[in-house]
Amino acid sequence: MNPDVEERTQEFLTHLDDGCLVEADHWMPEAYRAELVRLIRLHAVSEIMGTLPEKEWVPRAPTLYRKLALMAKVQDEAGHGQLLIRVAEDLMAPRGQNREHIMADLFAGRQKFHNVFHLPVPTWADAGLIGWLVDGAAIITQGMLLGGSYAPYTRALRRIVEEEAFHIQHGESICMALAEGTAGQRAMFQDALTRWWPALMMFFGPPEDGAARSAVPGAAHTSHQAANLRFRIRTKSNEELRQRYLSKYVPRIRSLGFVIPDPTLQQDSETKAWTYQQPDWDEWRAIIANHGPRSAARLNLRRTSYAEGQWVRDVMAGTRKAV
Amino acid sequence: MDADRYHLALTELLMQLADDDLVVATRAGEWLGLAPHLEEDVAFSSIAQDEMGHAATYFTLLATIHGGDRDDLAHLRPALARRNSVMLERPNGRGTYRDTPHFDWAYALARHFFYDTLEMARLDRLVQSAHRPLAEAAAKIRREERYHNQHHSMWLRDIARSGPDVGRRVELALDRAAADAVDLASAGPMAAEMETFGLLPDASHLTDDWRARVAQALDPLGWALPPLRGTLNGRHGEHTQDLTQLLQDLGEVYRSSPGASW
Amino acid sequence: MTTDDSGSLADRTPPPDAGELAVYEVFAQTSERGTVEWQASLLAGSPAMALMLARENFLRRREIFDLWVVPRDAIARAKGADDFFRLPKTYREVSDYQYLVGKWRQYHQQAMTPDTMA
Repeated sequence: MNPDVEERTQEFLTHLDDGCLVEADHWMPEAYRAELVRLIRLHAVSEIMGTLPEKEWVPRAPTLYRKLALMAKVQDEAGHGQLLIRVAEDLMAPRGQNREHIMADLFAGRQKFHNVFHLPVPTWADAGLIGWLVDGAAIITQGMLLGGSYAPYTRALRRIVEEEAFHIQHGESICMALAEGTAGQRAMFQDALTRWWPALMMFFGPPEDGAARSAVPGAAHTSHQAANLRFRIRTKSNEELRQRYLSKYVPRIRSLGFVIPDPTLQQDSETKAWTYQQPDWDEWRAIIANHGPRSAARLNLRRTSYAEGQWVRDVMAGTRKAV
Repeated sequence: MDADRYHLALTELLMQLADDDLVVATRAGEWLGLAPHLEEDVAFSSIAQDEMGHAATYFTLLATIHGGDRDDLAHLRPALARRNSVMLERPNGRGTYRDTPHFDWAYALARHFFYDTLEMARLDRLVQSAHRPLAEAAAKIRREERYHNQHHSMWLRDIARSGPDVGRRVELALDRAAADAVDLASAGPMAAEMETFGLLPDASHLTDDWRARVAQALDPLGWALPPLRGTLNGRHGEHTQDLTQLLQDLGEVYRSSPGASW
Repeated sequence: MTTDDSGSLADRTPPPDAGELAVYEVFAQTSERGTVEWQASLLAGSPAMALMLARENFLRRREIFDLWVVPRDAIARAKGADDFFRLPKTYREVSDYQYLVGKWRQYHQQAMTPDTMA
């Protein structure tokens, strides 16, 4: 690193420690930009791919009301993808890149998305569970990111979290109806919970030992999590988020009489810390490397529709030039 | 006798309105997450929601006069009891929303343009309907439809300006939509009663009115309304396998546990 | 915070044609985490001049984090109640789900909001 950049980087980190915010046109170390781009692309593409598992259930949603609400929910997810991809595009602009590069990377297997969106959604209860328990996990993550150092991202997140207030209640509402429904409806939800629990434990990513906060960003051995904590892009570790999630959701799930499929799950009465069965992290790595049960199918949906829409985007680009 | 005919005509009318919107909203909803441009995905999704909301309104009115529950009426009636136009039940392209969706945006635009133009022609009449609850609902729905018309007009205009190759796509799409549209602007076998009873004023000129509106929009763009074809008439309960498949999806969960609360 | 201001709007602006004044709409971000919002409009001979005038005309009592001026004729606009009319869509509003508060109480749990979760 040349001395000038090193000095500016130190100055930048000091500013972050003082709680200052960064805007798109501020100078930033390349490592900071790279971590942001990586995180926000992952977030944006997860929202975009995340529309697909739930939209499968829009026509099959049981009532007109549920159809409407699920349409609105999936629409919001696409809208969140839009807000986030714009933040990412502005960060990628200095490299001469835009959303087309993100999509190309997605199709080439170079752009990951969250583990939960690689999984099948075989019943209406699975759709409800996504709304309640997957969205709940997402809100805990996003709420934490709201306090981050990159202001354009936090502005997008603020809009997103506002809409998530509807999402969690929408998900709860579906699951509550199943919980208070017939034996068949309750069984449907219990099956879905049993199916999804390991994926929910994977959602926040693997726990990490050691002093993450003291890590040196940019160093080869530093994890993205550690770098993001140092850059104050995120303010809590994966494990802190998972612990919070368990505290919020385990009592609620159990209060409805459902069984969480982890006999080892318990909370220490003094430290309040949860112990739980570690999910298979190798499986998690395989899933997010597009080897999940529905990875190929969902990518095929996206790839096919993207190719079919190319002429429309060409019309849009042509219109812009013509005006 | 007259009261029976009135009731029958009103039921037919509400079924046409409700079934049209339910089916078109379902097809539009299949585009969720798959539209050609991210921002358009969100915008088109609002149109799908609007149409589904209108369907819910019409099914509520239908339940009131017909008896029963609006969700029963929406989810349980078999294809031969459905009154939607055949054009609306056709898939969005080759493949399905669950597997390799070779969806055709030009067809989506053409179909929605035809349908929304019909809706405006119909709503302009329904605001005067003798069935007051329908007239009141129509007045509100008509206001919401403005955005739909603006949306499709904008797209058609931008495409028309993009040269003959792209324009050809729309011409083909208009033709494909017209191939199933012989029943679209028809008020069905009880059209005369609908007009006599004032339920759908001036029902006899609905088709001509629709044609005129379509021509007025297409002429400046250099396009014409292709000949309307089709051997099936949805207003008579005649439908394709596409509708049967769609209805299976629509009612899959609802039918799985009769009487359950969802 | 270090700002790279080599690309600021004012520097890129060509000098005005003599005698041509234009209406500029003024937008500003007045809190660090806030968004850019419309403030007022003014008459100026160039974007650079509009920026110079805007800060003292409309924002002299406010902290400014970002200031935009846009020639009015560069703004595409849609206006009118009819164009924006929407039927109520309560299924996507939290108000429709308030009954869950009571439901959760039956199960001795509290209802969740994004605020209590984050």
